[in-house]
Amino acid sequence: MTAKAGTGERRQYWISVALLAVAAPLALFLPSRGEWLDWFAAKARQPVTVERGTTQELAGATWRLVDFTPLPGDLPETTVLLAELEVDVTDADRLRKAAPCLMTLTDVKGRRWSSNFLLPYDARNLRPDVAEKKSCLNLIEAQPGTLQLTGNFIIPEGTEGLALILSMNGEPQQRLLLR
Amino acid sequence: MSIGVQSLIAVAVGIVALYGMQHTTPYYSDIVSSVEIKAAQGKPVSTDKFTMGVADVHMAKEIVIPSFNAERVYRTDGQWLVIEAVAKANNESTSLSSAFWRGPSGIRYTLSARPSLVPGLIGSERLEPGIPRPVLLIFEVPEKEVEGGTLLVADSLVNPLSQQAAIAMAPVEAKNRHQSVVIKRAGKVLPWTLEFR
Repeated sequence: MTAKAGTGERRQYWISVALLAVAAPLALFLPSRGEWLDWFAAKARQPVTVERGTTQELAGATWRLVDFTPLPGDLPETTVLLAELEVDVTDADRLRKAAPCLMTLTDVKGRRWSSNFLLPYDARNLRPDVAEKKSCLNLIEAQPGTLQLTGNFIIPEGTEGLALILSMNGEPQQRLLLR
Repeated sequence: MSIGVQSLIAVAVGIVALYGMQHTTPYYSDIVSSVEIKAAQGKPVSTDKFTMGVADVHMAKEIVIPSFNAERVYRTDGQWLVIEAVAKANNESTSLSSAFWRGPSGIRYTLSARPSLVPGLIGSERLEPGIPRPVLLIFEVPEKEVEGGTLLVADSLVNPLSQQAAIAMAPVEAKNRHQSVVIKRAGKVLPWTLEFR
């Protein structure tokens, strides 16, 4: 009788452990209503690589990296990198809803620079035409057609392996890696 | 021992345990508060977001900010601490939006908002990876809170479990104790120069 009762208790113990192993993760995941899964999915999703000269559709527009132009920085041993893009707006309504765009510059070491709101003073004097071009914020009033878009970054001189990560605030599930 | 006495002892133990738990259980805000990365003045400290080093600390009874046609003078009954430091972002662009002076009593003093228009104040410019920038910090603290103080700097206090540099500060050297510190606007590389009276 004692041996039978012991076997039953052991079985109950291991069933409880197995149920706990299932219930504990569920207790973490269920209250999040899928936010954890979205977070994991967003982390796992790789950006679409767009090589120089080619185009890629994103949020109602076709995007192409025109050039990376290094300009002298205001600080010693720094460069202002001007990223110029051509954006062909095919679905202006969708693009406006997804705007503004977010630009981040990355290098071979994985470092990430956020774009500046304004072009630094010295660089502005060298490229006055940039004032005529659009920035990510201007996309909230995008119209069908082609527009020139710029972003600028302050980086150390000699930074290698540069690429531009582009995403839309309203459609964060897709990102482009333009290089 | 009777059952009644045993019950009383059990209740007393329970009350003591509950009282202890009430007074020792950390708040949720404590559990997710910043993690201190300890360092000492003179050595750079690196958190997951930024690297920082304190170069010099000056103590004065008044701060003078020259403006276009006059000087703005800020006096204190305590002491002004003017801290010159260098900081850079580690892996991604960031801003240092939180700085405190923690005195030996444990009281925290936030950055002084009295002297305005000071060039190079911490948080006024974004830090970029690979580009060290000089930053200035100004605190107004009681004299007894100066020696044995700790400088606390973080990119944000809002992010749970973010890292915070906690730099144990050395006593202010005699040559750095002044009546007045004049903070003048300078160039692009070093946004300020200090003069002493």
